[in-house]
Amino acid sequence: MRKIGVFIHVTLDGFFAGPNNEIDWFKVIKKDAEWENHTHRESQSGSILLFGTTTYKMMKGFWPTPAGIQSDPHMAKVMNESPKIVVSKTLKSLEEEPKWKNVTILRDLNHDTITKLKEEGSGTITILGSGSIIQQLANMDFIDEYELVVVPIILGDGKYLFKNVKITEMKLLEARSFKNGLVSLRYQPAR
Amino acid sequence: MRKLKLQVQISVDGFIAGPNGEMDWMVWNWDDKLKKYVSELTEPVDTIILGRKMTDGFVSYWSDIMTKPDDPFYAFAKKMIETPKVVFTKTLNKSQWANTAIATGYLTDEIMKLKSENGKDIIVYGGATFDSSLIKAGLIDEFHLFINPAAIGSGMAIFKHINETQKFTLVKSTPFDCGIVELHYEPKRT
Repeated sequence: MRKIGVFIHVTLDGFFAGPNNEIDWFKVIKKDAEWENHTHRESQSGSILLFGTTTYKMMKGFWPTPAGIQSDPHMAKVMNESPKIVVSKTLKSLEEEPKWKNVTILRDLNHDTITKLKEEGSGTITILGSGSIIQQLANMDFIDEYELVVVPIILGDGKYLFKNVKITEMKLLEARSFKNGLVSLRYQPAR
Repeated sequence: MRKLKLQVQISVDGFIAGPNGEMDWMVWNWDDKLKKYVSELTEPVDTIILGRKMTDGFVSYWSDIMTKPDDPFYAFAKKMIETPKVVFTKTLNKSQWANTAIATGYLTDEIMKLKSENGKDIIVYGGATFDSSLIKAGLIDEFHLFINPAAIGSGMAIFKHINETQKFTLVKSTPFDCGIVELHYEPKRT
């Protein structure tokens, strides 16, 4: 049985993106060796990566490119080689969307398709970014663990990660801060 | 110059209360380390500022606990009641509460006046609208956000009507056994 985890950056005011999906505020995150180690260690677990169409397009436009590989060779390798699932009703078939390996499309996100995905194997499925996918899965109570990376900024307006999501009890697994001002908060929703 | 500290209990998604003021999602069985931490944070405070709307509830809540010496929050309640308070109001012209002055001028002017007086730290707890105004005006010097392990989906936010991005420096994060994590930030002022 696979577990589903979340890894997402949020602002202090609870947004995962600006009102028009802006993520330019990621620029405030300074390079930090300890943070990089942390993300590398987590990415070694051999997870399946899952994202929505917006995040998929962004990732695909970056990690396989020379700029992506140069920015973080280790992460680029993980991103490019890991099995990936993109949840999308609109994306054309993958034959028409080349340039990235090991991608499958999930057309419908519902209780049955996710249950099937969980039962197909073991290990972890990690949702990267993709706030709207997280919301849908959280409301179906499919998320086993959250890693929220709190970025030291407030935007004033944007897209709330937990909009229409209510988890009144969570267990704090770990809180860790980094010199670049990021705080990683890991929670497990209480069932 | 005195410092203005903001101390709030906040959900993972940034709310200090539910849409109707619900606080049932908060952790109430604080561990000893957290109790000590909060009392150390409060110790150098000699002025509490409050929004008018919250003041009645604040004063009656802590006055009530002050009548129960066995309550785990008794010492804190005593501090809350005995510390001089300034209530910000546009509708009152005199204070209705003991040990409390009122401020009726422009927010920034009144806060700057308080900060320039002699004294120790100033603290603000709420309410949400008052906190938002202070944050928007860039008047908070230290943010102490006590993140409670719950996401409530909607509610009263302290980061509201803020039209431009504000950046912060993380001073430290402190996890507690009861599940609360305190995040301590200072604003980056340019």
